Amino acid sequence: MPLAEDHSEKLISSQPASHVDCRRAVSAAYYAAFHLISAAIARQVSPPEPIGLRGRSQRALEHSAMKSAMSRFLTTESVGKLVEQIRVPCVFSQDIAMIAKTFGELQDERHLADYDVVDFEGKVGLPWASNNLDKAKLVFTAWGRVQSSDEARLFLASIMFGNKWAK
Amino acid sequence: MAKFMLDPVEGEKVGAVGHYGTFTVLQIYPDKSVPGLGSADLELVGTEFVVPRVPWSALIRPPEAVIQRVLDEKFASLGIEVPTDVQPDSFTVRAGETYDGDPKISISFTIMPGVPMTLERARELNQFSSRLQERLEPFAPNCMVSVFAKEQRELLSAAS
Repeated sequence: MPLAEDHSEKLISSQPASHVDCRRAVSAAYYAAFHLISAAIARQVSPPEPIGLRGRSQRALEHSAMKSAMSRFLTTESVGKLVEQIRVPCVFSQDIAMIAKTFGELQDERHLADYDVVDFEGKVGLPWASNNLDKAKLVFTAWGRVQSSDEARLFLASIMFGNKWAK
Repeated sequence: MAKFMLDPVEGEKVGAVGHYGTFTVLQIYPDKSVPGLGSADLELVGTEFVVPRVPWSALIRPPEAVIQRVLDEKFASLGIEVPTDVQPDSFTVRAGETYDGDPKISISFTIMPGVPMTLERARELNQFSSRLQERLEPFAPNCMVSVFAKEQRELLSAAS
């Protein structure tokens, strides 16, 4: 289990988990998913040497741009439009759609966890934290199933270069 | 997924294809032979301007209103078992935005107070939340749907 996800699990396993623990768990759960995808992108677009290049590639990624790029993989229709635009064959993948959707949800919850001290909806608590941890685990499981596919390669490339493909 | 119609009801606020503004449904005329079809007289809110016999298929409802009606009127049709510690009639629906401005519908429910929250209990509630989210998402296309449990907070802990 990746470090951030493991850390997230530990935070809410200690009883009673405080709201601070819950917030940190959700933040760590998002970052586990973020690093999973961003590291995969960096491996795909950058060689291991020179040392440091891959890390720089990973750090070039922006959170909201990633979410936006992933939205093209949410439905069969949006995947169809992408294929039509770039003329690279790709089929709709339920796993990738789930990863894209869940990534967006986790990102939104991470904003609540890290920036919204008021939490006027009363969301912050153990059910919220464990739900988001479960979602992060689902991202890992789905990525494990799909990562070797052509759809996954296009997904990663699209996150990195998608906004340039309209040219 | 459970499929069912949500016929318009008199007094409901709707939009209509080809018309600006919000309308109140004045009267409905259900088709007697085909369930889910019919027309309605609409009155532009704040005026006495009436658009007669607008087909139901041309009515536009905000997704939060649709989801509220699904929860109020069709919950049983969703085929989800509700955990015993979820307070009945505590479901609230709120339209908003994600932090980066995308449309979002939040659905919350309150859980019974007095029972210690454990990870196991939280996971059971999450299974329920996830199933409910899955069933409600088709009613709010292009929106992020978020379902979550709320614990009743005492004033002192909320303020601290």
